[in-house]
Amino acid sequence: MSSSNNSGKVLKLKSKDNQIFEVEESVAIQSELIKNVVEAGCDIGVIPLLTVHSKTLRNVIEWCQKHVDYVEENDSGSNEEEIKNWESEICEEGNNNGSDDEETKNWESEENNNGSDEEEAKNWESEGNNDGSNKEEVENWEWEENNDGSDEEELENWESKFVDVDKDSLYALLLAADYLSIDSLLERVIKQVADVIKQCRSVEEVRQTFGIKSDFTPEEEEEIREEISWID
Amino acid sequence: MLQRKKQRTSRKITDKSDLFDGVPDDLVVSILCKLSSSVSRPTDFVNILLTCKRLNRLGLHPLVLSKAGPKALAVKAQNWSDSAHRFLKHCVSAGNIEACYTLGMIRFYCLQNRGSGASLMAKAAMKSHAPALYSLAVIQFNGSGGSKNNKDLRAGVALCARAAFLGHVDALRELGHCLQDGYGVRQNITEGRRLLIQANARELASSLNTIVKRQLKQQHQRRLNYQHYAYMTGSGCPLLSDFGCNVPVPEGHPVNVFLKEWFELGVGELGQGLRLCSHRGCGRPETRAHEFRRCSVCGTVNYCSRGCQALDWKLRHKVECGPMERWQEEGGNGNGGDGGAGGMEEVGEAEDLAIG
Repeated sequence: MSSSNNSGKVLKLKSKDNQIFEVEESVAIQSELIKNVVEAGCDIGVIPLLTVHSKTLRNVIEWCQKHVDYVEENDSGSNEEEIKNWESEICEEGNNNGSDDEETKNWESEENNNGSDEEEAKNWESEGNNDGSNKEEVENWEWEENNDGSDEEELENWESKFVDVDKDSLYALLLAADYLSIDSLLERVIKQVADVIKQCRSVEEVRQTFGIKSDFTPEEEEEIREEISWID
Repeated sequence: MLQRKKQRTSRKITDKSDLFDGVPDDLVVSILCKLSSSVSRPTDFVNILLTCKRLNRLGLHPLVLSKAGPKALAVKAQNWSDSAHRFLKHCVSAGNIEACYTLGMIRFYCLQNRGSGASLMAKAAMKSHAPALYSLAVIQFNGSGGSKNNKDLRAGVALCARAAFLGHVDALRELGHCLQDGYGVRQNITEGRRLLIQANARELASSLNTIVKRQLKQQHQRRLNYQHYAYMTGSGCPLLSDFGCNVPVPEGHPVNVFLKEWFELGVGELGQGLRLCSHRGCGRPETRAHEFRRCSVCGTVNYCSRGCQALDWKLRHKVECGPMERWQEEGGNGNGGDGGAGGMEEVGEAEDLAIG
């Protein structure tokens, strides 16, 4: 469902194990690293990503694609813009602040037998308000949308499933997101690792989950345990 | 930020290699920051400090400590010790505002160190920490830590106003009552009522927020069935119960739990003849005799602030007290209690008006 709004240029990314991936520019520039390469004009030929394995790169590309699709589908930016335009239209027509729209002016002055433009705007606005203010309407509309399981929620669920992987893949994703500077992915993976740590009920479990070897001497460990003895 | 360091240890790679091995320090710190800010109890955070030297060092990094949330610092009163004190001090020096507030409260009320406690709370208040501002307001209203003459009503109102501006529900209520009664500020009944309504609305909104999030996660239920929820949660938030809208009482700050347990479990001593605020969720003790105000009808309960009084009234005191309750200061300085026509308690009436 990708749009062809942009140039539709396709970039070639080469993974550590020499696999080539063809990715649309709009998708690839979610990565700050690749964005910088493109802006520096060095995107001729193949962009080598020396530390990212093809398996991980495939997942990363999937992530980027999903986010590009999400932004396009919801285009929350343009929704807000639409609303702003709509609201400012209302205000303009009311206040007639040297609006360039001659027609609107004429229409208003025709209608306007009783008083100032502002008054009319107020009447008009209050008519609108009888149905619940404009803003409220917009909010209700948005809330209805959300009732169908908001898209944001869907994305969140998708993201949670995406990072619900084994430790090695998570580790690879973490390093890849860091190397490629993909903020959204990095944030989500960091959150996931933190969640995994939180789920561990004891120190041993944390060690086991992450394969950490304790390098404390028994005395040092005792010291630390004492320092945190105020925990239950 | 830390310089990126690739930790290449000289350990042999065993069949289960350390996940954090190849992760640079700054990423680990980011992970631990996320951890400290989102844990729901201290254990979950502290576990990581015991795993190995590197994680211990990075876990105690000031950046990580500064991000620790209130729940990560939720010391239990019965476990209070020098090490707990040290840990909180550590967090304070790392710049953790929650720790400033928590330690400030503990020092002021439990350790009887008024000056240090107040200055820690002031530190948090200056960074716009709403609970700290509110707590300082309560101290000013009551002249806690000093004599009756140390009360500074106007300072209290100013602090309350700042906390209320940040959306603190108790502060909104307190300020609303002050405005209605002309206490520490010029009387403005409409404005006071408006603030009381706003306090109710905020409380409802935040409760609904948690309800909605929970329900969406569990069942994708579209309509919120208030009655259903009331059935599930039992006694609900009193101020909205008149609507048949029982929402759960909002969660208090962990330090209030600390204070309550400190005195109730006898970890610390409550001075001779001193009482705790009768609102269960508060935990503040008096710092001198007759500091708090009591319910003038039954005289059996005392409150540190109007906010606590109002909440407790609807939560449970309404049923155990008589219908005529007056908010009165001991020693006869009646204030804020008059004005209720027909002998109705002002607070109660105000609340009804606020709701109706």
